Amino acid sequence: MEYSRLIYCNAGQKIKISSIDGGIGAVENIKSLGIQLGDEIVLKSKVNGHGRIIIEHNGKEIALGYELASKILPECSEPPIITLDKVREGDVVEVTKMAAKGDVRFRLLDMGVVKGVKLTVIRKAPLGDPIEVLINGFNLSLRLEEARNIEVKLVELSKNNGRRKRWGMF
Amino acid sequence: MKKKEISVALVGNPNSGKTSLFNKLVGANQKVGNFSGVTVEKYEGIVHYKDYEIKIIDLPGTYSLTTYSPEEIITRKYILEENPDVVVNVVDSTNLERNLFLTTQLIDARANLIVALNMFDELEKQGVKIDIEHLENLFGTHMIPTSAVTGLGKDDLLEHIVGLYNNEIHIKKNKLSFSIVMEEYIEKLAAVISTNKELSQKYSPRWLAIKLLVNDKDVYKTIKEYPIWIKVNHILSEALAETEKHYNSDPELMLKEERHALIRGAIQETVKYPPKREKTTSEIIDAILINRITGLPLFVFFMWGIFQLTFTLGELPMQWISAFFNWLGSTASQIITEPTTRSIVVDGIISGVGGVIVFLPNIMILFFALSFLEGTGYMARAAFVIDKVMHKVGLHGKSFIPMITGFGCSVPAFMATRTLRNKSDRITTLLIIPFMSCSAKFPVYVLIAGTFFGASEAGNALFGIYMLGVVIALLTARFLKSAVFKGESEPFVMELPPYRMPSLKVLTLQMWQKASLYLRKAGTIILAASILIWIGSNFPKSEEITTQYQKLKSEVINSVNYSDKEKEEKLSELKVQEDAKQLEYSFAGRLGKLLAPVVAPLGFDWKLGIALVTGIAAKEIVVSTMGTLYSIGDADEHSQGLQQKLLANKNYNKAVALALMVFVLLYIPCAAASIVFHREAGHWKWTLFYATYTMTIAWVMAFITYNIGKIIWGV
Repeated sequence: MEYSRLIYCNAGQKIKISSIDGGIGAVENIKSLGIQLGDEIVLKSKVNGHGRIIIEHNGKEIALGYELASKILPECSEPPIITLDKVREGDVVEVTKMAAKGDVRFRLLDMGVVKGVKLTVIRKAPLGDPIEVLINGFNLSLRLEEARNIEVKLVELSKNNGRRKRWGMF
Repeated sequence: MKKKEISVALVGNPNSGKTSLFNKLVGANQKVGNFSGVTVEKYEGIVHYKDYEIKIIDLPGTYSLTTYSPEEIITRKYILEENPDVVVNVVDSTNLERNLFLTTQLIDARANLIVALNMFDELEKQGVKIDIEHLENLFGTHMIPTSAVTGLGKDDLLEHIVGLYNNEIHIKKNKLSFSIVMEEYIEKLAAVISTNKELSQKYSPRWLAIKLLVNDKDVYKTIKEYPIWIKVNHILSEALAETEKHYNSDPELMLKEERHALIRGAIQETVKYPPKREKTTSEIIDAILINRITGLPLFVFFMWGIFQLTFTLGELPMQWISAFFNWLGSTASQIITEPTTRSIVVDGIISGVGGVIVFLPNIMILFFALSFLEGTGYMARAAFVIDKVMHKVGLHGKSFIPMITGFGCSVPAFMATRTLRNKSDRITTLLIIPFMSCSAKFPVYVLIAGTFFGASEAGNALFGIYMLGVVIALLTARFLKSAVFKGESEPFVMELPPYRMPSLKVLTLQMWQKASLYLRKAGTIILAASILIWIGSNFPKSEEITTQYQKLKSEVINSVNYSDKEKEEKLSELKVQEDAKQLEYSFAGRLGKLLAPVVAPLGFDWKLGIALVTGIAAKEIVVSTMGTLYSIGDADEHSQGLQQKLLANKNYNKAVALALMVFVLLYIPCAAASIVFHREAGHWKWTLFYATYTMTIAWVMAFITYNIGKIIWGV
């Protein structure tokens, strides 16, 4: 069974929560909302600008912040397709489609961003844009608007145990 | 006996250590110039090996041979048209997959190829092992491990170059095949192209076929000129339709994907990576330098640091050079007795040349610092950190450093825009740098603000002026992006290379190369411009005025009413008055008077007009010209006499003062900067636009400022 992140799923999907990618704090937070492992929820909508997710659980609507939502790992028979700009720091993804056009496409292809290649998202710039990815052993940076044209699927979750590098170091 | 010449072209990715290898091979035996028509530098060098004179040209770093930036175009053109005897492809062996992409294109282009597996020492340190022989056979090309740092492979490489030139070494050339589907189309196209004698003699038909399928704009343009285009186009449409239908893709994508897959496969067969990948030093450094919290403050600190370094460290040598030229000038004054020759030598040539050389310390320090940042790899991080802000106004992260430099001086700032690969980004940055108020304008602000605004308000006025400059710069960038360069901006996709410590030798070399380029090109023209401007401010001389003052002076000398000391004072007063009158009479003066109606709506009179005109030569001159016009000899911005005279003039007030500062902020930069601008922009139309735009904006903003000022201060 493959894991994914709640933030990678699509609106309208019914999701069964398999695991939490986080420490005690996250687990407690989620429990306090009345959600248990194995529960089913429906992803109602994503407020894309701020990353907030609205879910429906046991008939109630709950709004989850991006951080918390990213730690909820649902079961997936098939990992959902997302765009590179939505990938969380630390996750490893594989390119499924190159939808960019024009000069950006030339550049990306020259750099090796082709179908089948694996990318690890290393970080977002201090101002949030551009992002840095690890590809074929070197570091590539690109803008979110450029990453939006690259379709990817989740291959491996970040190994940080959900502990987002607080100070961004090490 | 004359040595045999071998021409070698070095080709490779940026950051592959190509330039270091070049320097290792040729040492100081190199010269730098320009590729015609573009502001891309051309490095050529010679190395003597056995009986051969090997001429090496270091082509610009490029990731591929598909044309969409000057670097690719130059590299491609050189290889296909200049036909070098040998092409050495410098590959970063710690980054094989991406680097070999270019290699495969060179093989397609049928270049006489040797691959230098560079940075091999780093590879070994990482514990990676390559079966070089197997890799050579897969690609059908000789591969030699090299290291610019340890010198590994240098002789081996030279030996192979000679061997290849003499056809003494053989390796089975390999056709890197694509899938059956794509090969079919390639062969169909190649067959059609082969029917055209001209094309197939000049280029490899297979190369052209592949380039057509990957949408290479340049090749399209070339083939369209020939009648075979009809058949070619037909096959291309067929290919497009089939790949769409059966593979949900297109030929370009498929070929590139297959290429990468082929390379990946070759690497899997020949390269053994160590089991565990350790955290590299670069990753640790990055974790500190560009993390979410310290990234921005550190960036600001480094930018401030460069700025400080350039302009405060450069201050001392600048003073020395200034002092030297002053000494030279006064010595020449004493030696040359004939007044016109003296004036042309001292005021024209010596001050002209001095005006060029005085920039040199700044330029050298700045370029040393920039080469250091670029060589270590921090430059890419700087662009990474600030790009979001830059992109909002349509600029690129890399525009930041040239803009910041503009606060010191536009000349090095214009030159620093070369890091911008994309033409429209570069021109936009060039056009907005003048609005970053340069340090030469500072004395003008100090004089005006100090005189009319008093201690408390002067600071605010100054800050306001600088901010206005930045705002106009950003608005101009926006405007250019949306109206002139619609949607042409450069993709940000950029490599963040591993941190490396550049060698001092290389940095010094690069610094000297940039400095000498400046001296050669800009220097000669700036000198000519200075002389022209000198002529404009010194001719014609009025005989009437000369005789009139001659009389006055002799009256003073022969008079019995004054002591010697008083006579001296009177004489120098008369001299200054005479200078003022002569200035009015000269071309510059007449121009100022002619422009009086143009600047009248801004509240300026003809005296200010003249001062502004002379400011086109150099902004510092504005203050000294005003001094001359108000008969204050040797005026600078702190001159009390000048301040009093300005205040005494009933036509001057706060509104005029502010409008004047705004005008000085925005109008055309000094001649030196304008000439460098023209060189960097490369086309008359841009220089013309630059001149008209700055003057128009200056006039309009000064007009608005004056009129609003009139209302606010009721003058």
